[in-house]
Amino acid sequence: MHNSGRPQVVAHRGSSLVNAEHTLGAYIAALDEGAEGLEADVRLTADGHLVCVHDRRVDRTANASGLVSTMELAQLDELDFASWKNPWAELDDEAPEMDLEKSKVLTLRRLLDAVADYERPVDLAIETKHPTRYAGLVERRLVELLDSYGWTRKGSPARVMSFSYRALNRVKRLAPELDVVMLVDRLYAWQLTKKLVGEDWIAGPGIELLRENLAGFDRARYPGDIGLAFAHELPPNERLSLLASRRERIESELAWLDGVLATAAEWLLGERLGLVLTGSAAAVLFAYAVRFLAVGYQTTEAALARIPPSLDEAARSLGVTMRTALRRVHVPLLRGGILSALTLIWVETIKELPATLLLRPFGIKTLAIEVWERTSESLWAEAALPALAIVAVGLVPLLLVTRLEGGRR
Amino acid sequence: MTVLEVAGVTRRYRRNQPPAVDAVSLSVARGEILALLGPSGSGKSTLLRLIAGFELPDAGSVAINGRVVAEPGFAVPPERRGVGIVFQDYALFPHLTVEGNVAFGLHALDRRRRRERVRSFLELVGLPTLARRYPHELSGGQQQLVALARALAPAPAVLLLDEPFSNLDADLRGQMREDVEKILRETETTVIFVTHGQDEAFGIADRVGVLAHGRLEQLDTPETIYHRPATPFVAQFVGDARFVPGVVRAGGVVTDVGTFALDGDAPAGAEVDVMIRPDDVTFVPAADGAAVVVHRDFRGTETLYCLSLPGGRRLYASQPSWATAVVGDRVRVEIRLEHVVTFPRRP
Repeated sequence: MHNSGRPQVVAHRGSSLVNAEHTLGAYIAALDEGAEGLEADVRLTADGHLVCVHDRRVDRTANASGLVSTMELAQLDELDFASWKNPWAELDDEAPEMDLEKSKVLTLRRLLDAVADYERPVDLAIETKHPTRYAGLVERRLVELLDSYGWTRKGSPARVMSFSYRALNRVKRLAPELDVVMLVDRLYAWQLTKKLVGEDWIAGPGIELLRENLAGFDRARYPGDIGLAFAHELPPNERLSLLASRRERIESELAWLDGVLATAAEWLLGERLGLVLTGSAAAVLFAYAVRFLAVGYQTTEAALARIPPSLDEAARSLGVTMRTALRRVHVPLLRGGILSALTLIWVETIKELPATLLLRPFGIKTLAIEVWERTSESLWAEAALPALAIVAVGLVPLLLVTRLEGGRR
Repeated sequence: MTVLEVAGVTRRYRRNQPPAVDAVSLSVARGEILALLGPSGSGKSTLLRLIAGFELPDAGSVAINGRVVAEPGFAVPPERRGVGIVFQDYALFPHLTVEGNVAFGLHALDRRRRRERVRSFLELVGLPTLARRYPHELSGGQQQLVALARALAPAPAVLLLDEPFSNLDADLRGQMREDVEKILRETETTVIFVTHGQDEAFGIADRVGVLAHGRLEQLDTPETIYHRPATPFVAQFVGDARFVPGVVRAGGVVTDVGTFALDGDAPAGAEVDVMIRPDDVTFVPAADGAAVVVHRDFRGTETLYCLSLPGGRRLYASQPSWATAVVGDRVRVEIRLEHVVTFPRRP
């Protein structure tokens, strides 16, 4: 919702119904048609320039093929990003006039210039696309660029959007005053993202999601061809959001189970249970247990197989109960196996990443996540310390076990 | 005085299958050594496990020193039966020293008395110098003796030995048998041991129980078992017996290899099988002999000959190894039976 109380008209990829999307021509057309805001997707080229291209590849919108991220700006500059929209333009009298400047690849800098130079104030919604090989570099470059226009402070015409929570988090870290929009294209439990998203963040549910899920959604007021509706400050129970869409299915199912548990608890006990599974370490502990069960089982099993049943019987014939036999015979004989299983699992657990990323309680980070986050932002030096810590933490029990077991021989 | 009383014990592992132990009754007196002899699968190990408490009887009861320890629906756990066991694989605890193994069952004693008892039992088995060794540092015979010391140390009411000598080399076995018997006699231990070797059973035991298909065929002194086997199975299992058909007459049992005096009271005209063992049979070379040597099996101290009689009947004869007859020789057979053992003719 715009401050005026009515929806803001934002041109998705420029005036993209008639014009080729993401070209300067399309944006200028949108402004001339009265758009109050422009929306653009940005990607980073191999030589570090931000360009307005939606797809990972240029194939759909240019007369060439290749990855934006492996091409340099000079290469992209030679391509035609407009002809695909009107292949018969030369034969069509009504087609928009082709202007070479307006059909080339559009750098974000050029778009910012256009917005800055336009006669009336125009908002700019910039979406960073993820995943990409440059990860955090995209947001860093974006913030640098906006900063050079003085547009990272309050009142900036620009806001940054993304489906990636982490990307927006970076933006917030680099430019706390900049507005960010958490894009949502699937209905996940609101509870999941409530804790994740900052209070001043804007939720951006897709139009389809709005149509399907918001009771009383007024189709007439939100005509579909605008593309995306960005709803500012919807009441919390209506605010939709998502965790990054890359998070896997299991999480949504756990969340569903959590919902069931919470509802059941509220109904049965009249208590608010909260998020037992996804909100606590339960889910991640369960995942570790499942994931490393085989490791522990195999190691212990091998040790157990070396104990002949006649040892149990010998112990019992010597007047010892089953429980005491377990303590005096099995535990000492299994000790080595159990300790090495524990060590193995310990080492595996501290460096475990995928399950931890998916299932950890919000705000909890492991060393492995620290390393991963920093390396994915190319902060190699800062990743070194947690990485070394992993090695150290893994090494300590290993040395202890080796010493303990070595001393017994 | 009876220490162990087994009464009508039956153990069936699976329905619809013959029981592993079938209505076995026996009693063992204090200080007695009883051998359970039988082929593999005869149920002797199961019987041992029933006494120890690792198996529970489906019928019958086990009593130790007059106290019932097992009957259907009731069982005293193995650890409270006062039964010691020496396992076939010795089952020494690999993480404990010899000392630790022997002390394992002495948890009720204080430290000082435990140490004394460990020392005295290691002396008993002749291994006082190996107290600090681990089982894997011992020979098979030494492990056997440690297992014995460990089982004897808590002074069990009954000691069970499961195939105690089967894991030892042949040259060690004789010596170990002697040593073990000496230790058992010295400590006046009540013993049941299981074996499939009749030498072991006869050499050590006061009485021998012969088992077949889970049934106790005969329980008696070794001599009686050998000379007066109760069933054809016992006769065959103990000493390679063969049977020759005969008919009871006034003068004895008439067979086609001779007539034998009968010291039982079988009715005249009864058809019987007469037991003949290889050591009952001798022969002398004779050109007009009725029998022919058809096979010769040299066994070192003796040679086992297979003789073919007129009419195709075959007999085995064991001869001192210096006797030399070769296959094809004609011989005259002489059968000398100290005790004539007959069984009713099998159909």
